[in-house]
Amino acid sequence: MSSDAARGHLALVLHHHLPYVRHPEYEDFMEEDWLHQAVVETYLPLLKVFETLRAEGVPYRVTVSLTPPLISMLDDPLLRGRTQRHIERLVGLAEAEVARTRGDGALAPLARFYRDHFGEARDRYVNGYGRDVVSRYRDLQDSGHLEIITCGATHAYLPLMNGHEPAMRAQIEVAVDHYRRRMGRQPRGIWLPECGYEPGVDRLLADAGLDYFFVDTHALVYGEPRPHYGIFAPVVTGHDVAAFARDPETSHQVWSAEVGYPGDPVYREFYRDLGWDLDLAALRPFLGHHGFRKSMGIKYHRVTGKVALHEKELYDPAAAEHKAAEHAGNFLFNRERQMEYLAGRMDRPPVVVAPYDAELFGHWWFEGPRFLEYFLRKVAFDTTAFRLSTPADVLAEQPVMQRVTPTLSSWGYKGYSEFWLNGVNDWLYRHLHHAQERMTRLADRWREGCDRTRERLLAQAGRELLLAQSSDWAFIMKTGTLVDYAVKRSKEHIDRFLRLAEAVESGRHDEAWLAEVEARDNIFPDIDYRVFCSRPGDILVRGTVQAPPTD
Amino acid sequence: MKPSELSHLKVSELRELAREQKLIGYSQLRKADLVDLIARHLRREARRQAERRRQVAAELGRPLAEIESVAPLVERADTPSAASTAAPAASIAPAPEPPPGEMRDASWYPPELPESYGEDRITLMVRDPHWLFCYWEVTDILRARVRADFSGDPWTVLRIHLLGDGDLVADGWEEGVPEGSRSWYLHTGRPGARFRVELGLKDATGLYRILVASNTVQAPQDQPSGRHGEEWVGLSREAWHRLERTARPRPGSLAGVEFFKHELERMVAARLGGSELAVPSLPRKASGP
Repeated sequence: MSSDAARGHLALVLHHHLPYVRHPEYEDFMEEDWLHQAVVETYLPLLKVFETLRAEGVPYRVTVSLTPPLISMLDDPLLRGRTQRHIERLVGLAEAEVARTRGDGALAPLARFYRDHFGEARDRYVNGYGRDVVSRYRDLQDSGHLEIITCGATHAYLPLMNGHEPAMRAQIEVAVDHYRRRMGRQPRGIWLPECGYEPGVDRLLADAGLDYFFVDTHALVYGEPRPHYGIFAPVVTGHDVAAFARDPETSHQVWSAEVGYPGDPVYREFYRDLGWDLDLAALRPFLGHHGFRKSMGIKYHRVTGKVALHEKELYDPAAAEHKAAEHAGNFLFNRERQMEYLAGRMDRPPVVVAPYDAELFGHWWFEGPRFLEYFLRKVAFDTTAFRLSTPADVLAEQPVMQRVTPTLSSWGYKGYSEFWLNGVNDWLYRHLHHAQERMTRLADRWREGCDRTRERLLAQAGRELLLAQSSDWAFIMKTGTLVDYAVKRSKEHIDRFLRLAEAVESGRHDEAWLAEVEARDNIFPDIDYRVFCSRPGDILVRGTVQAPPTD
Repeated sequence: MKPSELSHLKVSELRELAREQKLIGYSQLRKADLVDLIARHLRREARRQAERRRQVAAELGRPLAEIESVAPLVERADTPSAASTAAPAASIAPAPEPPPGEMRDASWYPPELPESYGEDRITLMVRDPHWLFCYWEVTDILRARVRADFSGDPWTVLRIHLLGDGDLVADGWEEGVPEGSRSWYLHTGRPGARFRVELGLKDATGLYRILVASNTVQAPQDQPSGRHGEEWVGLSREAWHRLERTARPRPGSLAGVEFFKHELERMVAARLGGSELAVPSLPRKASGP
């Protein structure tokens, strides 16, 4: 074996996800900003890092999950136009700021910094990419730099689906099918939404042709039997799918309040935003038609320290850049020590898995993409202790694994299901469970096909069910901001599902209404409702097994 | 609701209030303790809100009296800063924005969902190693039929069954639930155990009649397994062939299935003599023949 094979593996995973938010019925919709902000602040900067390194011939391997709702929104013509409009408003505001701050020695350079920053973003999004972000990711996969994996169709939290296998399978298979169409190949792995796993999910992953997934640390540490290498080697589950566990140390260093990098005083302060500081009259031309204040993404201040927002000091981009390089060096140093420690105790190269929400990089932590670029460069040139690998790379090299059943778990608060099941969101599940069971009954009844109208009704019922299942709604209800919107979305999708199901059953429908709902909730245009059918041996309710269909 | 008014409420109303306020551990409390629990919570909440308003006023450098009217900023002050994001954070929702108040015309408000679906069911769910959640609905027809077996006034109880080998009931207990409640959190304190619950009616004579029975669930573990048994297997042959096509090329190494066999032998050699080793031939996919 080459000496390369003795080095450990670091698997960086960037989970890209946003809930499906698209409101053609409004000229401007506040929550659509989530997408626009993520494009400007995270996806474009990350792509710039990846493409720059590729152009320079710097080798790297990074795993990226792109969820189907995110891909669908990034590909949607209406939303693409609105993202462009968003960037153009930012450019306009930044130019107005350059004029306003002229002569102000402290603010003027920052205003110019944002004008150049947004100007470049516009140029890349519109001219460089032709507004097509997803194809850039795909291209980076095709050139061997990224490994793109899939996720649940709408990011449903699987452990709270009452073990209903047809509905869980639909979440997985719709996602895999969507990936195949968009990426032109079969996905190798999946990021389970919220890292939510329960025994049995692996069977559905195996059926969908997936080879690996990720779990949180304790899923393996408390797995059955005890894993020989702890979390530093993948295991294989009872249904022959590999599971990779998150390394808490690596995550901690980036996330944590005490020792995490993003809290450094020189980094940009997230909460102090021009959208809340500037005169409303001066802002108004750059807000949406609704004219409400909102975060604009122009932030002149740095974290500074534990002081009130009005006491924050001005941001210095050069100092922050310098700090990002320093932190990348520190991160590399810590990984080297960790790998050396592990390698001394294992008879195979250790595997360290470091997953992050992609939106951490750039959106929350403005300098995150810079940190990442420095880190990828350093790994390529400055270390012999480990290399960057994707899970598929690891499996190709370590195909023999211990058989372990991970325990039910998530990467959410307290590590299980509490964040999505508590006093503010538990009312959801009686409706979601009713809907998933009813959907399968209807799909089974028309298993052999049906007329075109009923087909449309069933397909749309499937879309509404999937949209209602997004873990984001329960999550937002618990975080306590924008609760109304999350409640509204949940209720609307369930309500539309119920009306569609009634129409399927009764054979009577309102064509105008159906067309409107199809146009609004237009995710998965090619969905086949039969993906919700039960199959012989399926579990429909935990503890019971479905008899084979009689037909 | 002021803390001083709580004692006028009925126990069932107090429990409902405790539930709304997301309190825990109230299900077994007597009225006096329940009043005390909720009163303390409400006072704490009031203090917290006042403190938050003061903070926002200080940060903005504006008089406290103005702060009641800047609801979005109050929300913002309550969200953690990027710097204080706790680990591990679950999915990070993007920048919190205030809801667009004036955009809410009549069409903004969501439809009301059905109270029930005309089913008789109880569904048991796992929250974490120590807590379960169940929700139920019972049709009037079924309730009346079961009710007919009682001469006096029965109350509603949950029977929690702890399951042993072969899912036979090994142990269990009972919890009364308030009239009209439709869901309940259950503290089990039994990680790794399997459970089933029943909803039923019971009266003072001890007579019990079941209304609905739930599915079975297994709570997750909260500590490492004591079992070290080690079975070492490889990826399936199909997975291996897929890997060959997409993974990073390994310069100078064995190709495909050859490499797999080599690795398996190496692992066997490395592990022999120690643990109980079971090395199967290439495993089949679950869906395979």
